[in-house]
Amino acid sequence: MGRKKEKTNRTNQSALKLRLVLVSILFALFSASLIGRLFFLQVTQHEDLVSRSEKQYQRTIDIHYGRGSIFDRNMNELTTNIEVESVYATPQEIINKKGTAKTLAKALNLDQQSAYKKIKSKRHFVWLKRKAPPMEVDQLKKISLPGIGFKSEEKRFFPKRELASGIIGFTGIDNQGLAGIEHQYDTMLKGNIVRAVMAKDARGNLVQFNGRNRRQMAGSHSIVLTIDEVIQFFTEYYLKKQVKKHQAKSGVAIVMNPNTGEVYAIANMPQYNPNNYSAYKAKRWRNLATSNSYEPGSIFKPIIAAAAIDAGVVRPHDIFFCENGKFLVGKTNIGEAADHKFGWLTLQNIIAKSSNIGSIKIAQQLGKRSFYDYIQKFGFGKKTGIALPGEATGRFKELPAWDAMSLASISFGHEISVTPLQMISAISAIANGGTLMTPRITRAIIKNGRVEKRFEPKAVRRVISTQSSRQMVDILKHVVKDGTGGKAVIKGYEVAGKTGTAQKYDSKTGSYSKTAYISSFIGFVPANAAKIAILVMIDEPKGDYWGGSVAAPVFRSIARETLRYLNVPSSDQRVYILDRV
Amino acid sequence: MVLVAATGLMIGAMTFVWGNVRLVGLAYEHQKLDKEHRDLLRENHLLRVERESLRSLDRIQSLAKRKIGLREPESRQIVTVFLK
Repeated sequence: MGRKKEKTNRTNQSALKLRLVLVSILFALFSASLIGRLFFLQVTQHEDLVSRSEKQYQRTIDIHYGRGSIFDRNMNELTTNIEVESVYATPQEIINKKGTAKTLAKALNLDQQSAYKKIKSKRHFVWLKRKAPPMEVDQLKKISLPGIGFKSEEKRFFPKRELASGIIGFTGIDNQGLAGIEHQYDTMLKGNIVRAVMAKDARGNLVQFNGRNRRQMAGSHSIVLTIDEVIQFFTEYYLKKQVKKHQAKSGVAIVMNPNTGEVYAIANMPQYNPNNYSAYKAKRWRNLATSNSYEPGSIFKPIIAAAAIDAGVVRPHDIFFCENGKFLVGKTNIGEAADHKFGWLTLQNIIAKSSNIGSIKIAQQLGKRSFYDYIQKFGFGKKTGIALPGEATGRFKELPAWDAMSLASISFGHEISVTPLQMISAISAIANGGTLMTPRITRAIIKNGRVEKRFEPKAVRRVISTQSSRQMVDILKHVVKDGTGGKAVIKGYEVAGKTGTAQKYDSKTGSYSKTAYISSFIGFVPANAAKIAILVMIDEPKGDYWGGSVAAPVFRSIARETLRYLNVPSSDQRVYILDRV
Repeated sequence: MVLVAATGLMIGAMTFVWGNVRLVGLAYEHQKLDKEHRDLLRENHLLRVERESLRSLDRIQSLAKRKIGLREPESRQIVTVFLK
């Protein structure tokens, strides 16, 4: 009995032990699986799970820093951005496609077929109308169509409309610069997008913001031009008036500070409104002052005179026989404008009366080699380096290619093409004492109101001596006082300048036209201490076509207004100099 | 003893929750003010654009000459004063 009980106890103990072992194993397995799961979640899946949890309580938002502005020299805003909305569709969410297309076409002023084609597409996202007018967007929002969404975008806006459009240019649908300063400084001006992470609640409302530092760091660059809005306005106003009066094909005028090379105004006629640039022909977008080159005609004569005086081969009062209006060069007979028959003329009078034959005689005295060198020194045939896109170089033959006529033709501004900007830069060199300056259109680059880069005046080279410059100023004063430039006289100021009436080359006939002219006037004022240099060129005026009667009055009007605006007193004005108290 | 511990725990928890609730409340207020700020900036910008358009020299010249009857001065009517 006792033995049997002992045996039972032993069996029970071993069963208990077995159970304990089994339970321990189970616990161990359970713990191991827990640890394994924890390891899997916390180590292996860590990154994935963290990002999934962040998605639930965080939202990434884009902060847009719009395209930088363009200012005139007095910080008047010439461009800005406005917020507009673009309309898009998610085609899969649209059930009644035909009905939606009809409504969209009516509200957004679209072609119904093209709207239907867009919303029928299998794509997930299609633009219906980018940067739609606010009225159309409001109307569409009221209808609330399924599958139609709105995205806020920035649109470039030019508040001054046509003003300085040839310089400023315009931007495309994605705000990319396509012309003018907008294109030249596109990389600098274009805005940027900064992504910021924000916390959100269960309803998706944003509850936290940490982007302040980034906001301070970001921001777009803006450009300050040398252009003066007021001078630009005068220039465009008077040029437009004259182009209209003479039913001319086009016109260009430039106002420049001859001492620094700063361009105060460039006017192009006809103009275009950059807010709606696509409504105009592409040729209107051109900046005629830099992208087009012309045969300058008689306004080139001061260059030959300056070169000859500076080279020391002639003096202002040297006399030349002007062959009584008929001069044979090679096999070509050269005459004077308006069939003038000049006899003996001083160099001063050759320029004042704009004698072609006299200019040839001066050029012959100077010689081919020297004339060629001076043309290059004055900057012709090369880009001026102004910060505007599409600048032309102008053209003239290389010296070995000059034939018997070349020296003669170039002396009165034929057989050479120059841009208006090159021409005014060259005349500015005569006005400022003999130094060719790089023309500048940009004054500074700013960011968050601070100047990041300032563009300083840059001299290219000395072209003529100070003495030659003084002698040339006297000659050009004589043109206005007693020569062809009488209509450029401004009461109370001494004006120096030169008229030009260039026959246009007709490629169809292979000769110079007898009906199409470019009328021009180039000059500076006050003559002895020039504050402004102005070039006016009017292409194919109808009726009267002489530079002295078509372009010179425009010069006078622009100069008179600009001098008053710049506070340059005339000799008949009362001027007081007071001590500061 | 248990009661004191429970009360302490409760106060601690309440303080923690209150702090968080206050933080979220302030965040909402911040967002509201931020939106108001952005709306005001947008309005200000639009007004500036309108001002710039109205200040167009073409328009001013036309108003000055036609509506008010102003004309440009003769040079003898101008007095220039320079300050040393």
